[in-house]
Amino acid sequence: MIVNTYAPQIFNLAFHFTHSREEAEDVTQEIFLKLFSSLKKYKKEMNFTAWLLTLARNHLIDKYRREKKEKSLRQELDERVLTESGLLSPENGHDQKEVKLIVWKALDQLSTEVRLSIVLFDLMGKTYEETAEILDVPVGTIKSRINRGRLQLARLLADQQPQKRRI
Amino acid sequence: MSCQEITILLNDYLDGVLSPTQKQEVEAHLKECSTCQELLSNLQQVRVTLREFPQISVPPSLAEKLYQIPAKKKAKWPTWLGWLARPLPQQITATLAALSLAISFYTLLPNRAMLAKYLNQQLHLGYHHISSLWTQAESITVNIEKVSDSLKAPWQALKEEGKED
Ligand SMILES: [Zn+2]
Ligand SMILES: [Zn+2]
Repeated sequence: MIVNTYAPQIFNLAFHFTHSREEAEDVTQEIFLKLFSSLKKYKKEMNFTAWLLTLARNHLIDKYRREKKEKSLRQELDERVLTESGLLSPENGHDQKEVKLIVWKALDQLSTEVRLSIVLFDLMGKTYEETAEILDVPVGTIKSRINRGRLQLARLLADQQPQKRRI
Repeated sequence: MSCQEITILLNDYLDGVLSPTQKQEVEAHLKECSTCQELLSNLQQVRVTLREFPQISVPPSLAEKLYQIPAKKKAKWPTWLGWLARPLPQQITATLAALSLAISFYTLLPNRAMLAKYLNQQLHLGYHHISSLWTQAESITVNIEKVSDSLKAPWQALKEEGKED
C-alpha cells in the first residue's frame, strides 16, 4: 500500500523538520491529503518517490513560512522518540549515547535546506542524485550542503565534548 | 594549504575520493595541525552517528488515519494506485508489450472505463510500469487517423474480452 511504503519516509522527514512528534503526525496527514489530491499532476517521467518527497518538502517549507513558527518550538527534543527507537538503549556505551544525543540535537541548528539534505542523504540513505531531485537543486549544491552540514555538526560536537578531545 | 582549505576536503578525504596529490597534502597538514585532526575525528563520529540513526516508526494511530484518506478520496484517483507499492513480479516484461498495445488503443478509442478495467486486471504487473503507461495515455493525444489500421483488430479483441466480465 501507498501508506505502508511512503508514510515512514514522510513521517521521518516531517519529524526531522518539526522535531515534534505531534506536529510531525499532523503534517504527515496533511501531506497525504495533498498527495491524493495531486496524483493527477504526477507524470510518468518522474520518479514517484522523489516526486512525493518533493511535495512533502514543499508542504513543510510553505507551512513553516506561513506560520512563522518560533525556532524554539522546533528545537524541543523528544527523548521518548530516541529511547523508543533504541538510540539510547543501554547496549550503547555512555559516550556513544552522548555523541548520538549531541548530534541529534545539533541537527536542529542547521539551516532548513542543509538539514533536509542531511536527513535525506545520511539518515534516509538517498543518493546525491535522489536528494538533488527531491530538493530540486543541482547535485553539486547538495554535495556542498552535505559537506557544510556535516562539518557544522562536527564543530558542534567538538564544542559539546571538548574534554574528551584534549586527552 | 590553510586549515580552511583542508577542512572543505575532509569529507572527500574520508570518502576516499581525493586525488593522490590532494590526499598527500591533507595528510601532511593533519600531521602538523591538531585542530584539523580534532575536526576530522569529530567529523568521522558525526558521519557514523548519522548513518546509525534509526527510522522513527509511524505511530499506529497515525497509520490508521492515513489509511482512511484514500477511501475518502477514492473517486479522485484510479484504484490501481492502491497497489502502488506492490513488489514487481518477474513476468512484468512479458506482459508489458500487451499493455503498451492496450494503451495505444486507449489513445485510439478512448474507452476509459474499459481500459481501466483491463489495467485493473493487470495490477499484479506492478505499479511503475502501469503508471508510466497510464500517464503516457493521459498525456499523448493520438489522432485516430494517424494510427495504423493494424492496431484496430487487436483493440476489437480487447473490447470483446472486456465484455465477458
Ligand atoms: Zn531531526
Ligand atoms: Zn589545520
